[in-house]
Amino acid sequence: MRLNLNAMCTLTGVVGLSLSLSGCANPFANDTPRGGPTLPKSWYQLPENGGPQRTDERQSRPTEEMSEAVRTAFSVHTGALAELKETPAVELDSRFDLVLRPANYTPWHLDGMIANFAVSGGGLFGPLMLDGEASVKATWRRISKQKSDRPGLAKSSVAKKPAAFKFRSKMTDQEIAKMLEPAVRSAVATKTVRNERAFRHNLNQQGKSFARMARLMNRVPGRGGWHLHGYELKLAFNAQGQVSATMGVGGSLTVYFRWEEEERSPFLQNTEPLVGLDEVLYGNLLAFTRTMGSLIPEALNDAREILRSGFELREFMVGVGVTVGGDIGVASVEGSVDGKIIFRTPKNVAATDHGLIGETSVTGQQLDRGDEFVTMVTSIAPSAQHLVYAKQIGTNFQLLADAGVYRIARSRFRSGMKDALTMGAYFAEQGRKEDTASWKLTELETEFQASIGGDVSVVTVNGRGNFALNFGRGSL
Amino acid sequence: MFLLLVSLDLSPQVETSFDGLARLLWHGWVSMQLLDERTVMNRFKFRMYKEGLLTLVLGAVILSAMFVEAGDRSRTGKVTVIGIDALGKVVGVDLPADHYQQSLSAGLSAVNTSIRPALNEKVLQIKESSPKSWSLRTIGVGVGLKGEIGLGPIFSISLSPRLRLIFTNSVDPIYPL
Repeated sequence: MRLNLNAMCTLTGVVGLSLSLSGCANPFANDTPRGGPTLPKSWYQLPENGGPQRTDERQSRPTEEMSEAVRTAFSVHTGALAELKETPAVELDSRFDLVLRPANYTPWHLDGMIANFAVSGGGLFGPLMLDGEASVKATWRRISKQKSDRPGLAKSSVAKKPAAFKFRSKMTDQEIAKMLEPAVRSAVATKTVRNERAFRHNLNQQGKSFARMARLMNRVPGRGGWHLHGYELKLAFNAQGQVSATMGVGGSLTVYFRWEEEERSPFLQNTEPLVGLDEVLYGNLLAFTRTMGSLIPEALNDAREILRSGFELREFMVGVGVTVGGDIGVASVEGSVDGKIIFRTPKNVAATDHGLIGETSVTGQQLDRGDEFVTMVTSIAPSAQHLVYAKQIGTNFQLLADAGVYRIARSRFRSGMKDALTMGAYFAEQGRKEDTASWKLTELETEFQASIGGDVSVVTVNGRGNFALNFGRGSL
Repeated sequence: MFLLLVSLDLSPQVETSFDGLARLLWHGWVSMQLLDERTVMNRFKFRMYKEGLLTLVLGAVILSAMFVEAGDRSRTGKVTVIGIDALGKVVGVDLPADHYQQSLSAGLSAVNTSIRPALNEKVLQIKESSPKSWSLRTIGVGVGLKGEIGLGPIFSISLSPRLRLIFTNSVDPIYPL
């Protein structure tokens, strides 16, 4: 519905800037699709939720009008950055001892901007305001004029890493507690968390669980092609120190855990036997990472003609769910996410080279099982509608006491990943020209939700993503 | 020529740009014709003609490129800002792209100029005495553009864009999620 009568809009900056915008219009309270350009329905709505089936219009492409809207959304941000006046870098106190400066020191400067964009339930695209899930995260970074020109010396636009507690596979419980203690103290000191004891206990419990997974992940072989590179967990705590959500939902305090692959010698393998649940977990983890590690280059190969935006796929992040019984899989969008597994490929390795190196201590049966399908885990009981859809398309499912486990045919998931690459590359293509003399759009990360049938759509503002593609480009 | 382009760059009317291009080409052609008539020596005439043509062609290429750039950078469209309000409803507002950019630019500028002096405070510097202790390397500042769109008493929502500026004193900063 268009509402043009007496429209009034004011934007106010942090220091009291007030700009009157005449002609602002069209607020919509119920996300009713309007006359504006929208993405194809299959791009933002999964089949089991009323979206089109793959055979119907999965191949649809956005109209030129839609592409123009996406480019405009990016270019207003580039334009705003370009209008920023250059200001001299803030130098350190002259008494500062040069010797003590870190090697990577440079004077304080504005280095980049991260903006979030959303897709509405009706397929509109634009900057994300207020609350909600971001569909596309764009990062602009300053371009240095010369290699030796500080600030802005960054040599490359490396993928973002969160400021997180970094875990190592061999950390003891005491080391974990020691590492996490500053978070407890700062949370209590700032009165973000009021129940110190509960917070410390819960944080440490989460830390131990995370370290257990990190230990298992560190045993996973394969560093040659697309392989398990890291594991990340976002935890939100409420004021009482309880975990209020695991991903996507805010809380009083958010804590990030991260583990990244560690240097290891192929001659010094971890031969310590795994027993009980760890053995089951490891077997499933190995099957899952092997399947994903082979699917990514295959999907890249399928989509090679699309990937010409100048951006390259740098990271493939999958939200994973873990059941009590040890099943590991892509977390269903309606279930909770236990963490994100990050897949990367080393530089100079062909995308299609996905050979595994190193140890393999899992049975052939487990590997074969993982190669046939991709597991999806949901922590809540699947809806009747979803189960009917799963049966209709031939996705096997298993209802457990605490979760539901879907087995998605590998070929269907591969097709969905190709669709995801198409969509991610589309946004990258629209951002391709977003460069100025001083700023460059260096990264675009698109969030997706995967269907129980293997279909994929861009996550909407009120949806929830379970995997993401990080596209980056060039050096600065 | 360049000033003309700059002014055209800011103009949302791309069609006007092309009018300007046509006029410029026409004037260039006229002056070249005059040059041709005044020149006695054929070789000299040819050289001048060639240079004039080259200048014109180069000018046209530059102009075209600038007009393409002008077309890209002109904010003639609209931007739809999207989010979920306090009641959990999806909301969206269409804003003129040029005004959105101006507001954003003012907000970014305000943050940039107000944050930077604070970064010079000693408390934010790396400690001389304990170089291995924790020190502040990166700050992500959420840009506090506050906006409100209202239709009298019927409807009013607050706009708060989700973007952050990253300040750092590292050449290899770790960006927040």
